[in-house]
Amino acid sequence: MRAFVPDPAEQDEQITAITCPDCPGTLAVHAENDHLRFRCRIDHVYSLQDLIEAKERRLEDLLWAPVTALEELAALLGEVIRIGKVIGTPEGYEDRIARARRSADMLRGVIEQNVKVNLGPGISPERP
Amino acid sequence: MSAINGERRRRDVVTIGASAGGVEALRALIGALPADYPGVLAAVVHRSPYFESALAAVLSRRTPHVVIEPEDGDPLAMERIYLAPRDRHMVFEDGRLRLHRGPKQHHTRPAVDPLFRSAAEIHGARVVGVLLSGSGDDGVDGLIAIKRCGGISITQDPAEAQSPWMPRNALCYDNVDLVLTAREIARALTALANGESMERGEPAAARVAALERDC
Repeated sequence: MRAFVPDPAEQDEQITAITCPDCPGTLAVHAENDHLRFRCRIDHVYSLQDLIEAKERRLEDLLWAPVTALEELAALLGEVIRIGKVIGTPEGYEDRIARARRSADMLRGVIEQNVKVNLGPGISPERP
Repeated sequence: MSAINGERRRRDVVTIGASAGGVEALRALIGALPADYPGVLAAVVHRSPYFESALAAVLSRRTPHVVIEPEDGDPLAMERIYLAPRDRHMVFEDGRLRLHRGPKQHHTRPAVDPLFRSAAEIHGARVVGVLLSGSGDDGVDGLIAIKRCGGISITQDPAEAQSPWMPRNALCYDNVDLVLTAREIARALTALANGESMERGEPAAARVAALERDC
């Protein structure tokens, strides 16, 4: 895999602006018989179907991350109130807990709406 | 219709890829293989990287053939059936089988593509690539490589496969030579390993054409 723009004369592999689902590298794409194969610098390999599935999975993982952060913060502040170790005012904590929970609920709603692309009847979710 | 292996070459290096539903197909194939089958089979089945499984033993049941998981660097012996162990890609190298923990392909290790591509590179026209039941499209690029290097490609009949998508994807992108049931594949492999030519026959050719049209 090269570092700069692909040589137009080189039909073999074209650099994409898509990152590898499993490492920090970027992907190059190659087509043979119209079948696309994506490959990163260290040779993780994906078909187009694999890549779409991986990007959908990553998106869902990323969306859950702020939900976790918000709900952890709310739980932490609640515990601090319970054990009487508030730094500042309990009202401020209660307010923050309520806002964090509202935001978390909104994000859960976003995830609920974030239905994955339909890859047709041919795609079984089974993976080892 | 054109004959398969009209040049009567010995096609005795067989690579097999299987995923969901593929163990049953592979058992049927091995079970139907005659005891004096003269070639070598190397199979990748998508499997968990975490658990030692009895897959090789299961595949060896009720057949005269012994399925083994090779060690890295084992010399390639004919009349053997090799199974890629968990968490290792299995590839051909000059006269040997190599196992390695290289990057996953299609989110899986072992993956079908590395085995198929290495077979195509090393053994060229001796190779017959077989894709059995499975989901996804691991193995499609490998079959294309096998064909490009003069080998022959076979897929399990999608109508028989528990999970038809790997064979179907192969049909969409590769010029698959034969579409057969698992037991028929065993017969075809035997004929090809013995250097016999095979008539694909009108119905079979028409079926391949129809399946390719559906893509």
